[in-house]
Amino acid sequence: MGRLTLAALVLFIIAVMALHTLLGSTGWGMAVLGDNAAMIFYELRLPRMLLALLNGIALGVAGAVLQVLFRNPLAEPGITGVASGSALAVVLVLYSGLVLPSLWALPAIGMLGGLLSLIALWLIAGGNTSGFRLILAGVAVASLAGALVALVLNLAPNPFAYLEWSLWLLGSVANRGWEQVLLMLPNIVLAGAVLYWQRNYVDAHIFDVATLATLGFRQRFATWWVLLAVTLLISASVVTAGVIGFIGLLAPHAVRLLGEHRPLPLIALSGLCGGGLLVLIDAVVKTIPTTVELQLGVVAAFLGAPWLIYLLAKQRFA
Amino acid sequence: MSLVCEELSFGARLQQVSFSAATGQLVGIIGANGAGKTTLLQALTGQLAPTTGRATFANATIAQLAPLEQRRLIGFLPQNPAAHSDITVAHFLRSGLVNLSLRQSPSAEVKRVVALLNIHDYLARPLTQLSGGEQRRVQLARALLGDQPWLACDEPTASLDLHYQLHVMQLLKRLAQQGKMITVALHDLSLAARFCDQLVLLNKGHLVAAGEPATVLTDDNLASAFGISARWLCTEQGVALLPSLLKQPS
Repeated sequence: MGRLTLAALVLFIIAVMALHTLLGSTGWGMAVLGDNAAMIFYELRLPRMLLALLNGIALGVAGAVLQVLFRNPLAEPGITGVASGSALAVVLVLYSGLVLPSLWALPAIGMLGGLLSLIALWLIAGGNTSGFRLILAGVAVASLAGALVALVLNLAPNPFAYLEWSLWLLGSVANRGWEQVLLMLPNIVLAGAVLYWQRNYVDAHIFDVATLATLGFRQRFATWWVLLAVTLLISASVVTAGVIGFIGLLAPHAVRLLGEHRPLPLIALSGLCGGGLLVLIDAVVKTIPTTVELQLGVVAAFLGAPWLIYLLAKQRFA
Repeated sequence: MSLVCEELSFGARLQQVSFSAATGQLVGIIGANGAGKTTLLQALTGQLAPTTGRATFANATIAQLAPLEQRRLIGFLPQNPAAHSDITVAHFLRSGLVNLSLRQSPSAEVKRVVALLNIHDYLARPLTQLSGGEQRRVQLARALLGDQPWLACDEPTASLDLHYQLHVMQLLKRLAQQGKMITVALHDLSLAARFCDQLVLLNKGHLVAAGEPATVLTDDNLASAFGISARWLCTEQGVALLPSLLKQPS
Protein backbone atom coordinates (compact mmCIF):
# COMPACT_ATOMS: atom_id res chain seq x y z
CA MET A 1 0.00 0.00 0.00
CA GLY A 2 1.37 3.40 -0.93
CA ARG A 3 1.83 6.24 1.55
CA LEU A 4 -0.86 8.24 -0.21
CA THR A 5 -3.45 5.49 0.31
CA LEU A 6 -2.43 5.18 3.95
CA ALA A 7 -2.76 8.94 4.42
CA ALA A 8 -6.17 8.83 2.73
CA LEU A 9 -7.27 6.02 5.08
CA VAL A 10 -6.14 7.95 8.17
CA LEU A 11 -7.90 11.08 6.91
CA PHE A 12 -11.07 9.05 6.28
CA ILE A 13 -11.01 7.77 9.86
CA ILE A 14 -10.46 11.23 11.34
CA ALA A 15 -13.27 12.58 9.16
CA VAL A 16 -15.77 9.89 10.21
CA MET A 17 -14.79 10.37 13.87
CA ALA A 18 -15.50 14.09 13.55
CA LEU A 19 -18.72 13.41 11.61
CA HIS A 20 -19.90 10.97 14.27
CA THR A 21 -19.36 13.31 17.21
CA LEU A 22 -20.89 16.29 15.43
CA LEU A 23 -23.97 14.41 14.27
CA GLY A 24 -26.90 13.87 16.54
CA SER A 25 -30.63 13.27 16.49
CA THR A 26 -31.15 17.00 17.06
CA GLY A 27 -29.10 18.04 14.06
CA TRP A 28 -25.60 18.91 12.93
CA GLY A 29 -22.90 20.58 15.02
CA MET A 30 -22.51 21.52 18.67
CA ALA A 31 -24.52 24.75 18.61
CA VAL A 32 -27.87 22.92 18.42
CA LEU A 33 -27.14 21.27 21.76
CA GLY A 34 -27.46 24.49 23.68
CA ASP A 35 -26.30 24.75 27.31
CA ASN A 36 -25.77 21.03 27.72
CA ALA A 37 -23.35 20.83 24.81
CA ALA A 38 -20.28 19.95 26.89
CA MET A 39 -22.11 17.30 28.91
CA ILE A 40 -23.69 15.73 25.84
CA PHE A 41 -20.35 15.72 24.04
CA TYR A 42 -18.29 14.18 26.88
CA GLU A 43 -20.85 11.84 28.38
CA LEU A 44 -22.78 10.67 25.33
CA ARG A 45 -21.24 11.39 21.96
CA LEU A 46 -17.54 10.94 22.67
CA PRO A 47 -17.82 7.58 24.51
CA ARG A 48 -20.25 6.28 21.88
CA MET A 49 -17.91 7.24 19.06
CA LEU A 50 -14.88 5.80 20.87
CA LEU A 51 -16.74 2.59 21.65
CA ALA A 52 -17.69 2.18 17.99
CA LEU A 53 -14.08 2.90 17.02
CA LEU A 54 -12.60 0.42 19.51
CA ASN A 55 -15.13 -2.26 18.58
CA GLY A 56 -14.33 -1.78 14.91
CA ILE A 57 -10.61 -1.99 15.66
CA ALA A 58 -11.08 -5.16 17.74
CA LEU A 59 -13.26 -6.87 15.15
CA GLY A 60 -11.12 -5.76 12.19
CA VAL A 61 -7.94 -7.03 13.83
CA ALA A 62 -9.60 -10.27 14.99
CA GLY A 63 -10.99 -10.93 11.50
CA ALA A 64 -7.67 -10.25 9.77
CA VAL A 65 -5.73 -12.43 12.22
CA LEU A 66 -8.16 -15.31 11.72
CA GLN A 67 -8.02 -14.99 7.92
CA VAL A 68 -4.22 -15.05 8.05
CA LEU A 69 -4.06 -17.83 10.63
CA PHE A 70 -6.50 -20.12 8.79
CA ARG A 71 -5.26 -19.06 5.34
CA ASN A 72 -8.93 -18.59 4.57
CA PRO A 73 -10.30 -15.27 3.25
CA LEU A 74 -13.78 -16.14 4.50
CA ALA A 75 -12.76 -16.61 8.13
CA GLU A 76 -14.28 -14.09 10.56
CA PRO A 77 -14.71 -13.76 14.33
CA GLY A 78 -17.99 -15.73 14.29
CA ILE A 79 -16.31 -18.97 13.20
CA THR A 80 -14.36 -19.35 16.42
CA GLY A 81 -17.51 -19.67 18.52
CA VAL A 82 -16.06 -17.08 20.91
CA ALA A 83 -18.70 -14.43 20.17
CA SER A 84 -21.51 -16.95 20.69
CA GLY A 85 -19.88 -18.17 23.91
CA SER A 86 -19.64 -14.65 25.30
CA ALA A 87 -23.22 -13.90 24.28
CA LEU A 88 -24.44 -17.12 25.88
CA ALA A 89 -22.72 -16.29 29.18
CA VAL A 90 -24.28 -12.82 29.28
CA VAL A 91 -27.76 -14.02 28.34
CA LEU A 92 -27.57 -16.80 30.94
CA VAL A 93 -26.73 -14.27 33.67
CA LEU A 94 -29.61 -12.03 32.55
CA TYR A 95 -31.96 -15.03 32.51
CA SER A 96 -30.93 -16.24 35.95
CA GLY A 97 -31.65 -12.79 37.38
CA LEU A 98 -28.46 -12.92 39.42
CA VAL A 99 -27.82 -9.78 41.43
CA LEU A 100 -24.31 -8.87 40.42
CA PRO A 101 -21.93 -7.29 42.92
CA SER A 102 -20.53 -4.67 40.53
CA LEU A 103 -20.91 -3.03 37.12
CA TRP A 104 -17.94 -5.04 35.92
CA ALA A 105 -19.38 -8.44 36.83
CA LEU A 106 -21.52 -8.92 33.72
CA PRO A 107 -18.74 -8.05 31.26
CA ALA A 108 -16.35 -10.23 33.25
CA ILE A 109 -18.74 -13.17 32.95
CA GLY A 110 -19.11 -12.48 29.23
CA MET A 111 -15.33 -12.52 28.84
CA LEU A 112 -15.23 -15.78 30.79
CA GLY A 113 -17.80 -17.22 28.38
CA GLY A 114 -15.50 -16.33 25.48
CA LEU A 115 -12.53 -17.96 27.19
CA LEU A 116 -14.58 -21.08 27.94
CA SER A 117 -15.46 -21.24 24.23
CA LEU A 118 -11.75 -21.15 23.44
CA ILE A 119 -11.17 -24.04 25.86
CA ALA A 120 -14.07 -25.93 24.24
CA LEU A 121 -12.45 -25.25 20.87
CA TRP A 122 -9.17 -26.67 22.18
CA LEU A 123 -10.88 -29.79 23.53
CA ILE A 124 -12.92 -30.45 20.37
CA ALA A 125 -9.94 -29.81 18.08
CA GLY A 126 -7.87 -32.11 20.32
CA GLY A 127 -5.14 -29.50 20.59
CA ASN A 128 -4.77 -29.78 16.82
CA THR A 129 -3.96 -26.48 15.18
CA SER A 130 -4.58 -27.36 11.54
CA GLY A 131 -6.92 -24.79 10.04
CA PHE A 132 -9.57 -27.20 8.84
CA ARG A 133 -10.05 -28.94 12.19
CA LEU A 134 -10.09 -25.67 14.09
CA ILE A 135 -12.68 -24.13 11.76
CA LEU A 136 -14.94 -27.18 12.08
CA ALA A 137 -14.51 -27.18 15.86
CA GLY A 138 -15.31 -23.44 15.90
CA VAL A 139 -18.45 -23.99 13.83
CA ALA A 140 -19.51 -26.70 16.30
CA VAL A 141 -18.95 -24.43 19.32
CA ALA A 142 -20.70 -21.49 17.61
CA SER A 143 -23.70 -23.65 16.63
CA LEU A 144 -24.09 -25.10 20.10
CA ALA A 145 -23.73 -21.74 21.87
CA GLY A 146 -26.07 -20.13 19.30
CA ALA A 147 -28.69 -22.82 19.90
CA LEU A 148 -28.41 -22.35 23.67
CA VAL A 149 -28.81 -18.57 23.30
CA ALA A 150 -31.95 -19.19 21.24
CA LEU A 151 -33.21 -21.58 23.91
CA VAL A 152 -32.68 -19.01 26.68
CA LEU A 153 -34.48 -16.37 24.58
CA ASN A 154 -37.25 -18.88 24.03
CA LEU A 155 -37.61 -19.30 27.77
CA ALA A 156 -37.53 -15.56 28.48
CA PRO A 157 -39.82 -14.76 31.42
CA ASN A 158 -41.68 -11.95 29.63
CA PRO A 159 -41.85 -10.24 26.23
CA PHE A 160 -39.94 -7.20 27.49
CA ALA A 161 -36.99 -9.30 28.62
CA TYR A 162 -37.10 -11.15 25.30
CA LEU A 163 -37.05 -7.87 23.34
CA GLU A 164 -34.29 -6.37 25.47
CA TRP A 165 -32.01 -9.40 25.19
CA SER A 166 -32.71 -9.83 21.49
CA LEU A 167 -31.87 -6.19 20.80
CA TRP A 168 -28.69 -6.51 22.86
CA LEU A 169 -27.68 -9.53 20.80
CA LEU A 170 -28.10 -7.54 17.58
CA GLY A 171 -25.28 -5.23 18.62
CA SER A 172 -25.29 -1.54 19.46
CA VAL A 173 -23.10 1.16 20.94
CA ALA A 174 -26.01 3.41 21.86
CA ASN A 175 -26.57 4.38 25.50
CA ARG A 176 -23.16 3.12 26.56
CA GLY A 177 -20.64 5.10 28.59
CA TRP A 178 -17.02 5.36 29.55
CA GLU A 179 -17.21 2.04 31.46
CA GLN A 180 -17.48 0.15 28.18
CA VAL A 181 -14.69 2.20 26.61
CA LEU A 182 -12.48 1.47 29.62
CA LEU A 183 -13.27 -2.23 29.32
CA MET A 184 -12.33 -2.34 25.63
CA LEU A 185 -9.02 -0.50 26.01
CA PRO A 186 -7.03 -2.94 28.20
CA ASN A 187 -8.25 -5.88 26.14
CA ILE A 188 -7.11 -4.24 22.91
CA VAL A 189 -3.75 -3.34 24.47
CA LEU A 190 -3.26 -6.86 25.87
CA ALA A 191 -4.30 -8.57 22.64
CA GLY A 192 -2.07 -6.17 20.69
CA ALA A 193 0.87 -7.05 22.94
CA VAL A 194 0.32 -10.80 22.44
CA LEU A 195 -0.01 -10.36 18.67
CA TYR A 196 3.12 -8.20 18.61
CA TRP A 197 4.99 -10.89 20.56
CA GLN A 198 3.85 -13.56 18.05
CA ARG A 199 4.21 -11.29 14.99
CA ASN A 200 6.81 -13.47 13.26
CA TYR A 201 4.63 -16.54 13.64
CA VAL A 202 1.59 -14.72 12.25
CA ASP A 203 3.61 -13.32 9.34
CA ALA A 204 4.94 -16.80 8.53
CA HIS A 205 1.41 -17.86 7.58
CA ILE A 206 2.16 -16.66 4.08
CA PHE A 207 3.87 -20.05 3.84
CA ASP A 208 1.98 -23.29 3.34
CA VAL A 209 1.47 -25.72 6.24
CA ALA A 210 4.40 -27.97 5.28
CA THR A 211 6.87 -25.08 5.00
CA LEU A 212 5.66 -23.38 8.19
CA ALA A 213 6.34 -26.64 10.08
CA THR A 214 10.05 -26.31 9.22
CA LEU A 215 10.54 -22.67 10.22
CA GLY A 216 11.40 -23.26 13.87
CA PHE A 217 8.16 -22.26 15.61
CA ARG A 218 6.50 -24.07 18.50
CA GLN A 219 3.33 -24.08 16.48
CA ARG A 220 0.71 -25.25 18.97
CA PHE A 221 1.99 -22.91 21.64
CA ALA A 222 2.04 -19.95 19.26
CA THR A 223 -1.34 -20.73 17.66
CA TRP A 224 -3.16 -20.88 20.98
CA TRP A 225 -1.59 -17.62 22.15
CA VAL A 226 -2.76 -15.93 18.97
CA LEU A 227 -6.23 -17.41 19.44
CA LEU A 228 -6.25 -16.14 23.03
CA ALA A 229 -5.55 -12.62 21.74
CA VAL A 230 -8.40 -12.97 19.25
CA THR A 231 -10.65 -14.24 22.05
CA LEU A 232 -9.90 -11.15 24.16
CA LEU A 233 -10.80 -8.88 21.25
CA ILE A 234 -14.02 -10.68 20.34
CA SER A 235 -15.25 -11.19 23.92
CA ALA A 236 -14.57 -7.57 24.83
CA SER A 237 -16.51 -6.49 21.77
CA VAL A 238 -19.48 -8.73 22.58
CA VAL A 239 -19.75 -7.66 26.22
CA THR A 240 -19.55 -3.96 25.39
CA ALA A 241 -21.62 -3.82 22.21
CA GLY A 242 -23.33 -7.16 21.60
CA VAL A 243 -22.75 -9.26 18.50
CA ILE A 244 -21.68 -7.16 15.52
CA GLY A 245 -21.16 -9.31 12.46
CA PHE A 246 -19.35 -8.80 9.18
CA ILE A 247 -16.96 -6.02 10.22
CA GLY A 248 -14.35 -8.73 10.88
CA LEU A 249 -14.90 -10.02 7.36
CA LEU A 250 -15.29 -6.68 5.61
CA ALA A 251 -12.29 -4.80 7.00
CA PRO A 252 -9.50 -7.18 5.86
CA HIS A 253 -11.00 -7.42 2.37
CA ALA A 254 -11.27 -3.65 2.11
CA VAL A 255 -7.56 -3.44 2.99
CA ARG A 256 -6.72 -6.10 0.40
CA LEU A 257 -8.64 -4.09 -2.18
CA LEU A 258 -6.35 -1.18 -1.30
CA GLY A 259 -3.45 -3.42 -2.31
CA GLU A 260 -2.06 -4.62 1.02
CA HIS A 261 -1.50 -8.37 1.30
CA ARG A 262 1.41 -8.62 3.78
CA PRO A 263 -0.02 -10.14 6.96
CA LEU A 264 1.20 -7.65 9.58
CA PRO A 265 0.27 -4.44 7.74
CA LEU A 266 -2.98 -6.16 6.72
CA ILE A 267 -3.85 -6.80 10.37
CA ALA A 268 -2.93 -3.30 11.55
CA LEU A 269 -4.79 -1.61 8.69
CA SER A 270 -7.81 -3.89 9.14
CA GLY A 271 -8.02 -2.50 12.68
CA LEU A 272 -8.01 1.06 11.35
CA CYS A 273 -10.41 0.24 8.56
CA GLY A 274 -12.76 -1.71 10.89
CA GLY A 275 -12.75 1.22 13.32
CA GLY A 276 -13.51 3.75 10.60
CA LEU A 277 -16.25 1.59 9.07
CA LEU A 278 -18.02 0.97 12.35
CA VAL A 279 -17.92 4.65 13.31
CA LEU A 280 -19.35 5.49 9.89
CA ILE A 281 -22.08 2.85 10.17
CA ASP A 282 -22.97 4.06 13.66
CA ALA A 283 -23.15 7.63 12.36
CA VAL A 284 -25.67 6.37 9.79
CA VAL A 285 -27.55 4.47 12.52
CA LYS A 286 -27.75 7.65 14.64
CA THR A 287 -29.18 9.76 11.88
CA ILE A 288 -31.67 7.42 10.18
CA PRO A 289 -35.03 8.80 11.32
CA THR A 290 -36.76 5.69 12.68
CA THR A 291 -39.03 5.46 15.70
CA VAL A 292 -36.77 2.83 17.30
CA GLU A 293 -33.03 3.35 16.64
CA LEU A 294 -31.69 0.66 14.34
CA GLN A 295 -29.19 -1.76 15.83
CA LEU A 296 -25.59 -1.36 14.69
CA GLY A 297 -25.19 -5.10 14.08
CA VAL A 298 -28.20 -5.10 11.75
CA VAL A 299 -26.90 -2.24 9.60
CA ALA A 300 -23.39 -3.76 9.56
CA ALA A 301 -24.91 -7.02 8.34
CA PHE A 302 -26.91 -5.15 5.69
CA LEU A 303 -23.63 -3.91 4.27
CA GLY A 304 -21.66 -7.06 5.02
CA ALA A 305 -23.91 -9.73 3.56
CA PRO A 306 -23.92 -8.33 0.01
CA TRP A 307 -20.15 -7.98 0.30
CA LEU A 308 -19.84 -11.66 1.23
CA ILE A 309 -22.08 -12.64 -1.71
CA TYR A 310 -19.89 -10.50 -3.98
CA LEU A 311 -16.74 -12.24 -2.71
CA LEU A 312 -18.23 -15.68 -3.24
CA ALA A 313 -19.40 -14.75 -6.74
CA LYS A 314 -15.96 -13.35 -7.55
CA GLN A 315 -14.34 -16.57 -6.34
CA ARG A 316 -16.77 -18.67 -8.36
CA PHE A 317 -16.31 -16.78 -11.63
CA ALA A 318 -12.58 -16.11 -11.23
CA MET B 1 29.96 -34.21 10.19
CA SER B 2 27.86 -37.07 8.97
CA LEU B 3 24.25 -38.12 8.75
CA VAL B 4 23.46 -41.46 10.37
CA CYS B 5 20.05 -43.03 10.01
CA GLU B 6 19.60 -45.96 12.36
CA GLU B 7 16.67 -48.34 11.89
CA LEU B 8 14.33 -45.39 11.40
CA SER B 9 10.64 -46.35 11.42
CA PHE B 10 7.41 -44.39 11.21
CA GLY B 11 4.34 -46.60 11.59
CA ALA B 12 3.79 -48.78 8.54
CA ARG B 13 5.02 -46.06 6.18
CA LEU B 14 8.69 -46.49 7.00
CA GLN B 15 10.31 -49.58 8.46
CA GLN B 16 13.77 -49.83 9.93
CA VAL B 17 15.64 -47.85 7.34
CA SER B 18 19.38 -47.51 7.97
CA PHE B 19 22.08 -45.73 6.01
CA SER B 20 24.78 -43.17 6.59
CA ALA B 21 26.33 -40.39 4.54
CA ALA B 22 29.13 -37.92 5.04
CA THR B 23 28.78 -34.19 4.43
CA GLY B 24 29.89 -33.21 0.98
CA GLN B 25 27.67 -35.90 -0.51
CA LEU B 26 24.53 -35.44 -2.56
CA VAL B 27 22.23 -38.19 -1.30
CA GLY B 28 19.24 -39.13 -3.45
CA ILE B 29 16.20 -40.88 -2.00
CA ILE B 30 14.39 -42.77 -4.73
CA GLY B 31 11.49 -45.16 -5.03
CA ALA B 32 8.07 -45.61 -6.65
CA ASN B 33 5.02 -43.57 -5.65
CA GLY B 34 4.17 -44.29 -2.02
CA ALA B 35 7.56 -45.91 -1.35
CA GLY B 36 8.14 -43.64 1.66
CA LYS B 37 10.53 -41.01 0.24
CA THR B 38 8.73 -38.03 1.76
CA THR B 39 8.16 -39.87 5.04
CA LEU B 40 11.89 -40.69 5.24
CA LEU B 41 12.85 -37.06 4.57
CA GLN B 42 10.39 -35.83 7.21
CA ALA B 43 11.50 -38.43 9.79
CA LEU B 44 15.15 -37.65 9.08
CA THR B 45 14.66 -33.93 9.57
CA GLY B 46 12.53 -34.22 12.71
CA GLN B 47 9.18 -33.15 11.27
CA LEU B 48 7.83 -36.61 12.03
CA ALA B 49 8.78 -38.17 15.35
CA PRO B 50 10.09 -41.64 14.46
CA THR B 51 8.25 -44.59 16.02
CA THR B 52 11.59 -46.32 16.55
CA GLY B 53 15.17 -45.66 15.54
CA ARG B 54 16.83 -42.30 15.20
CA ALA B 55 18.57 -39.95 12.83
CA THR B 56 21.68 -38.10 13.95
CA PHE B 57 23.52 -35.28 12.23
CA ALA B 58 26.73 -33.80 13.59
CA ASN B 59 26.25 -36.09 16.62
CA ALA B 60 22.87 -34.54 17.48
CA THR B 61 19.70 -36.64 17.53
CA ILE B 62 17.47 -34.59 15.25
CA ALA B 63 14.11 -35.54 16.80
CA GLN B 64 15.31 -34.35 20.21
CA LEU B 65 16.29 -30.89 19.00
CA ALA B 66 13.98 -27.94 19.65
CA PRO B 67 12.19 -26.59 16.53
CA LEU B 68 14.49 -23.55 16.49
CA GLU B 69 17.63 -25.71 16.62
CA GLN B 70 16.27 -27.87 13.79
CA ARG B 71 15.56 -24.73 11.80
CA ARG B 72 19.12 -23.47 12.15
CA LEU B 73 20.55 -26.85 11.16
CA ILE B 74 18.31 -27.82 8.25
CA GLY B 75 16.91 -25.98 5.25
CA PHE B 76 13.84 -27.84 3.99
CA LEU B 77 11.94 -27.70 0.73
CA PRO B 78 8.58 -29.49 0.99
CA GLN B 79 7.17 -31.52 -1.88
CA ASN B 80 4.35 -29.36 -3.09
CA PRO B 81 4.05 -26.08 -1.22
CA ALA B 82 1.02 -24.24 -2.53
CA ALA B 83 1.17 -20.46 -2.89
CA HIS B 84 -2.00 -19.03 -1.38
CA SER B 85 -1.27 -15.40 -0.70
CA ASP B 86 -0.88 -12.50 -3.11
CA ILE B 87 2.33 -11.25 -1.52
CA THR B 88 5.32 -10.51 -3.70
CA VAL B 89 8.31 -12.81 -4.14
CA ALA B 90 10.48 -10.20 -2.40
CA HIS B 91 8.29 -10.25 0.71
CA PHE B 92 8.07 -14.04 0.54
CA LEU B 93 11.86 -14.31 0.68
CA ARG B 94 12.15 -11.62 3.36
CA SER B 95 9.72 -13.52 5.57
CA GLY B 96 11.65 -16.72 4.85
CA LEU B 97 14.53 -15.32 6.92
CA VAL B 98 12.55 -15.82 10.11
CA ASN B 99 14.32 -17.64 12.96
CA LEU B 100 17.61 -17.86 11.10
CA SER B 101 20.98 -16.73 12.38
CA LEU B 102 22.52 -14.93 9.45
CA ARG B 103 26.20 -14.35 8.72
CA GLN B 104 25.39 -11.33 6.57
CA SER B 105 22.67 -8.69 6.32
CA PRO B 106 19.13 -9.88 5.49
CA SER B 107 19.15 -8.10 2.13
CA ALA B 108 22.53 -9.60 1.19
CA GLU B 109 21.25 -13.05 2.11
CA VAL B 110 18.16 -12.59 -0.06
CA LYS B 111 20.36 -11.34 -2.91
CA ARG B 112 22.56 -14.43 -2.57
CA VAL B 113 19.69 -16.92 -3.05
CA VAL B 114 18.06 -14.80 -5.76
CA ALA B 115 21.31 -15.01 -7.72
CA LEU B 116 21.64 -18.76 -7.10
CA LEU B 117 18.21 -19.48 -8.58
CA ASN B 118 18.21 -16.70 -11.15
CA ILE B 119 14.91 -15.19 -9.99
CA HIS B 120 15.67 -11.44 -10.12
CA ASP B 121 12.85 -10.82 -12.56
CA TYR B 122 10.18 -12.20 -10.23
CA LEU B 123 10.89 -10.18 -7.10
CA ALA B 124 8.15 -7.60 -7.60
CA ARG B 125 5.56 -10.10 -8.82
CA PRO B 126 2.96 -11.86 -6.64
CA LEU B 127 4.00 -15.47 -6.05
CA THR B 128 0.58 -16.75 -7.09
CA GLN B 129 1.01 -15.27 -10.56
CA LEU B 130 4.16 -17.26 -11.34
CA SER B 131 4.09 -20.56 -13.23
CA GLY B 132 4.61 -23.83 -11.36
CA GLY B 133 8.27 -24.05 -12.32
CA GLU B 134 8.94 -20.41 -11.45
CA GLN B 135 7.30 -20.90 -8.06
CA ARG B 136 9.42 -23.99 -7.51
CA ARG B 137 12.61 -22.00 -7.99
CA VAL B 138 11.37 -19.32 -5.58
CA GLN B 139 10.51 -22.03 -3.04
CA LEU B 140 13.97 -23.55 -3.41
CA ALA B 141 15.54 -20.11 -2.99
CA ARG B 142 13.52 -19.75 0.23
CA ALA B 143 14.85 -23.14 1.45
CA LEU B 144 18.43 -22.01 0.74
CA LEU B 145 18.09 -18.91 2.95
CA GLY B 146 20.28 -19.17 6.03
CA ASP B 147 22.93 -21.34 4.44
CA GLN B 148 22.35 -24.15 6.94
CA PRO B 149 24.75 -27.12 6.96
CA TRP B 150 22.04 -29.53 5.79
CA LEU B 151 19.60 -29.02 2.94
CA ALA B 152 16.73 -31.46 2.47
CA CYS B 153 14.60 -31.15 -0.66
CA ASP B 154 11.54 -33.14 -1.58
CA GLU B 155 11.52 -33.37 -5.38
CA PRO B 156 13.38 -30.13 -6.09
CA THR B 157 13.11 -30.61 -9.87
CA ALA B 158 9.34 -31.15 -9.97
CA SER B 159 7.63 -28.78 -12.47
CA LEU B 160 10.99 -27.51 -13.75
CA ASP B 161 11.90 -27.42 -17.44
CA LEU B 162 14.96 -29.31 -18.64
CA HIS B 163 17.22 -26.25 -18.35
CA TYR B 164 16.31 -25.60 -14.73
CA GLN B 165 16.33 -29.30 -13.80
CA LEU B 166 20.02 -29.27 -14.71
CA HIS B 167 20.52 -25.83 -13.14
CA VAL B 168 19.08 -27.02 -9.83
CA MET B 169 20.86 -30.37 -9.78
CA GLN B 170 24.19 -28.74 -10.64
CA LEU B 171 23.59 -26.17 -7.91
CA LEU B 172 22.83 -28.89 -5.34
CA LYS B 173 25.92 -30.82 -6.43
CA ARG B 174 28.06 -27.70 -6.07
CA LEU B 175 26.63 -26.97 -2.60
CA ALA B 176 27.40 -30.56 -1.58
CA GLN B 177 30.96 -30.22 -2.85
CA GLN B 178 31.29 -27.06 -0.78
CA GLY B 179 30.68 -29.17 2.31
CA LYS B 180 26.92 -29.22 2.82
CA MET B 181 24.85 -32.31 3.54
CA ILE B 182 22.26 -32.52 0.77
CA THR B 183 19.42 -35.05 0.81
CA VAL B 184 16.91 -35.01 -2.04
CA ALA B 185 13.91 -37.15 -2.85
CA LEU B 186 13.90 -37.65 -6.61
CA HIS B 187 11.67 -39.25 -9.20
CA ASP B 188 13.98 -38.90 -12.17
CA LEU B 189 16.37 -41.83 -12.01
CA SER B 190 18.57 -40.43 -14.78
CA LEU B 191 19.16 -37.24 -12.75
CA ALA B 192 19.65 -39.34 -9.63
CA ALA B 193 22.24 -41.57 -11.34
CA ARG B 194 24.01 -38.64 -12.91
CA PHE B 195 24.29 -36.28 -9.95
CA CYS B 196 23.95 -38.20 -6.69
CA ASP B 197 26.94 -39.59 -4.82
CA GLN B 198 24.76 -41.98 -2.92
CA LEU B 199 21.26 -43.36 -3.43
CA VAL B 200 18.76 -44.74 -0.94
CA LEU B 201 16.21 -46.95 -2.72
CA LEU B 202 12.91 -47.55 -0.91
CA ASN B 203 10.05 -49.90 -1.67
CA LYS B 204 6.83 -49.83 0.37
CA GLY B 205 8.62 -48.28 3.35
CA HIS B 206 11.50 -50.77 3.32
CA LEU B 207 15.09 -50.10 2.34
CA VAL B 208 15.97 -52.00 -0.83
CA ALA B 209 19.53 -50.76 -1.20
CA ALA B 210 21.77 -47.85 -0.25
CA GLY B 211 25.11 -46.93 -1.73
CA GLU B 212 26.67 -45.62 -4.91
CA PRO B 213 24.28 -45.33 -7.87
CA ALA B 214 25.91 -48.19 -9.77
CA THR B 215 25.35 -50.60 -6.88
CA VAL B 216 21.78 -49.45 -6.21
CA LEU B 217 20.32 -49.12 -9.70
CA THR B 218 20.76 -52.75 -10.65
CA ASP B 219 18.33 -54.61 -12.90
CA ASP B 220 17.01 -56.62 -9.96
CA ASN B 221 16.45 -53.53 -7.80
CA LEU B 222 14.72 -51.64 -10.61
CA ALA B 223 12.47 -54.63 -11.22
CA SER B 224 11.56 -55.07 -7.55
CA ALA B 225 11.16 -51.37 -6.66
CA PHE B 226 9.62 -49.98 -9.86
CA GLY B 227 8.43 -53.06 -11.78
CA ILE B 228 10.44 -52.02 -14.84
CA SER B 229 13.41 -53.19 -16.81
CA ALA B 230 15.73 -50.62 -18.33
CA ARG B 231 18.91 -50.05 -20.24
CA TRP B 232 21.56 -47.52 -19.34
CA LEU B 233 22.92 -45.13 -21.93
CA CYS B 234 26.45 -44.18 -20.97
CA THR B 235 28.16 -41.23 -22.66
CA GLU B 236 30.94 -38.83 -21.78
CA GLN B 237 28.23 -36.43 -20.56
CA GLY B 238 26.91 -38.91 -18.03
CA VAL B 239 24.36 -41.70 -17.85
CA ALA B 240 20.67 -41.87 -18.68
CA LEU B 241 18.08 -44.51 -18.06
CA LEU B 242 15.99 -45.82 -20.93
CA PRO B 243 13.17 -47.92 -19.52
CA SER B 244 11.61 -50.64 -21.66
CA LEU B 245 7.94 -50.28 -22.52
CA LEU B 246 5.53 -51.99 -20.17
CA LYS B 247 3.90 -55.17 -21.32
CA GLN B 248 0.27 -54.45 -22.19
CA PRO B 249 -2.17 -56.50 -20.14
CA SER B 250 -3.78 -59.10 -22.43
